[in-house]
Amino acid sequence: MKHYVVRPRSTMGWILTLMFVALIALGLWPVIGWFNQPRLWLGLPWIAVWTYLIVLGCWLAMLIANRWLKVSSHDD
Amino acid sequence: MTTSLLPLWITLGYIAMALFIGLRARGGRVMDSLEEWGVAGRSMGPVTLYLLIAAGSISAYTFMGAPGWAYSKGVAVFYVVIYLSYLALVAWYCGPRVWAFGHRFGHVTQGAAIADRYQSPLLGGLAALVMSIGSLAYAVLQTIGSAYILSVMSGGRIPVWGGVVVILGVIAIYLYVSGQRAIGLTNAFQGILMLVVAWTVGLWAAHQATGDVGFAGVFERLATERPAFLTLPGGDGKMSFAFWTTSIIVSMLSFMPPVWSQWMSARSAETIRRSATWLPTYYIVVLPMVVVGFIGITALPHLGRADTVALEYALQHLPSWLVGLLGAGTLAAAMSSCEPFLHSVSMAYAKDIAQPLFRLSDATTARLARRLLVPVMALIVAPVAISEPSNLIMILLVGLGFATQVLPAFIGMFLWTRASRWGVLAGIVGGFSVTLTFTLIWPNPLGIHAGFWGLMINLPLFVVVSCLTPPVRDDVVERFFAISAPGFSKASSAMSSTTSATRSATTSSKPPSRR
Repeated sequence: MKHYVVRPRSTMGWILTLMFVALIALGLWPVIGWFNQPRLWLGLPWIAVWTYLIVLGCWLAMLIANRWLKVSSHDD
Repeated sequence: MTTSLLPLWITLGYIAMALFIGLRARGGRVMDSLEEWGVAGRSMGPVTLYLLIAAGSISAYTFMGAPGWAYSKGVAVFYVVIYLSYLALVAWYCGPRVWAFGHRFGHVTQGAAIADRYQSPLLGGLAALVMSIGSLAYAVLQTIGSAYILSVMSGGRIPVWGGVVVILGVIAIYLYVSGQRAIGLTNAFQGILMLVVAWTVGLWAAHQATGDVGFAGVFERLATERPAFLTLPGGDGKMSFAFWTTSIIVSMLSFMPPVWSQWMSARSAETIRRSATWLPTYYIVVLPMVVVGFIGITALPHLGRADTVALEYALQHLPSWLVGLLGAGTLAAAMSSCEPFLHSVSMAYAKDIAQPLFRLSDATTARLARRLLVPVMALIVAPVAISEPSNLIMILLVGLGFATQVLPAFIGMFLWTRASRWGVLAGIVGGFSVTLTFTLIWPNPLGIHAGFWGLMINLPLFVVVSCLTPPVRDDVVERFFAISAPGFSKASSAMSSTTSATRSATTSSKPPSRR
C-alpha cells in the first residue's frame, strides 16, 4: 500500500486544524509571556483570565467543529 | 484536627451514598463479559460520559494539590486548567476513532488496540504492563489522599490504615458488582458534588477573608503584598516558561488507559464529541479551590505542608458543615480518579497479559478481570498506601512520563500508516530511558520537563526505525485507517493496487474476530 501521513482534505478541515493548533499555541510560551504581568482584570490575575479565555476558546472551537461535521455529513 | 463529629458524619454519608449508587448502577445486568463489565456495553450517554471524564480527570489534586500549588507557587497552578482543556481537544479528535476501533474490532482495552494495530500481543502486553505502573501509583496516591481526609474528618479517630481499608473496600464492592457502570454513575454523582462543594467553599472562604462577594479582594491584596505569586516563575521561582510549556505538552499527550476505556464506553462516536465539546466548561471547578490556596498565602503563612492549605483553612475558619462538605468533595475527587485506574489495571492484567499468555477464553478472562480487583487492591494498593512511601511521587512521575512515551503507538493508529512495531518499541524504550534518567538522576535539565526530553529522543527513533523495518500488514493498516482517516483510506485504495483495494473494502465492511 502507499503509506501516508493523515492531513485535512478540505479547506474547512485545514481551518479547524489550524484553529486547534492556534489554541494550543495560545497557552504556551511565548504567548503566555505576554500575559505574565502582576496585574488584575475583572479581579483576577492576567494569567488566570487568559487561562479561562483559552478554556472558552476550546469549547467554542469544538462547537464550531461539531457544526461543521453536521453540515458536511448532510452534504455527503 | 476537628473535634466535632459533624464533618465525619457528612463524609461517611457521602461514602454510603457512593456505595448505594455504585451497587444500583448494575441495574440487573449480567456482568460476565468484558463488553459489559469493562466498557458498560458501550452504552453511556453524553451527560454521564461528560461527568465520567470530567470527574475522572479532577483528582484529589484539585482539592489538595492545586490549592497547595497556589499557596507555594501562585498562578503557575493554572497550567493544569490549560492542559485539561487541551485534553478535551484530544478527546474530541481521538475519542470517536477509539470508540469506532472498539465497536468494530471488539477492543475493550488500550493494550488490545495496540496489539491489534501492530499485530503484536507482546507490544500490547508490554504497554499494558508498564502503563499499569503509573496507573497503580496514581491509584495509591488517591487512596492515601482519601485515607488522610477520613483521618482529618474524624479528628484522628480513624487511622490511615483504617481509612485505606474502608475506601478500598467500598470501591471494591461496587466495582466488582457493577464495573464500568458503577464508575459512570458514581463519577456523575461525584462530579456534581465536587462542583457544588468547590464553589461553596471558595466563595465562602473569599467572603470570610475579604468581606467581599467574589475573588477580587483576594487578588488585590496579593497584587499589593506578594506580586510574585501573580506571575511566572511563581512564588518559589521554580515554574519557568520552559517548564510551563513542556509540562502542558507532555500532559496533553498522555493517553492513560482509563480514558481509553471511558471513550469506549460511549453510546456512539457522536456522544464522545458532544461530551468532549462541553468538557472544558467543567474546569471552572478548579478556580475556587485555587483561590483558597491564594487566601492561605496571607492567612496561613507558616504551614508545614502546602497541600493541606485548603483543609487547614477550612478547619480554622469555616463552619463544621462546610468542613464536612469539603471532606466529602475531596473524597469524591480522590475516589472518582482512583476507581477508573483500579478497574483498568485489572482489565489490562487479565485481557492484555493473562489472556494471550495462558490462551484463556473470553468468559474466563472476564471472570479473571473482576476477581483480579481484590488482589490488586489487597496486595499492591493497600500495603503501599498504608506504608505512605516517600518516593511515591517519583514513581508516579516516572509512570506518567512513560505514559507520554507510548505516543508513537497512537501516532501509528491515528496519523501515520507506516509506523511499524519495531519503530514503536524503539521509540518507547528510548523515550522511557531518557525520561527515567532525567527524572531520577538529572531532574528536568534546562528547566524542561523530563517527559519532553524523552519525546525528543522517542519520536525521531520511532520514525527512523519504522522506515527501516517492515510495516504492519496492509490489511490491518487499511482496517484501522478506514476509521482514522476515511477519506484518505479511499484515496490510498484508489492509488494502490486492485488487490489491496479489494482487501481494504472487505476488511472494513466485515469485522474480524473479537480481540
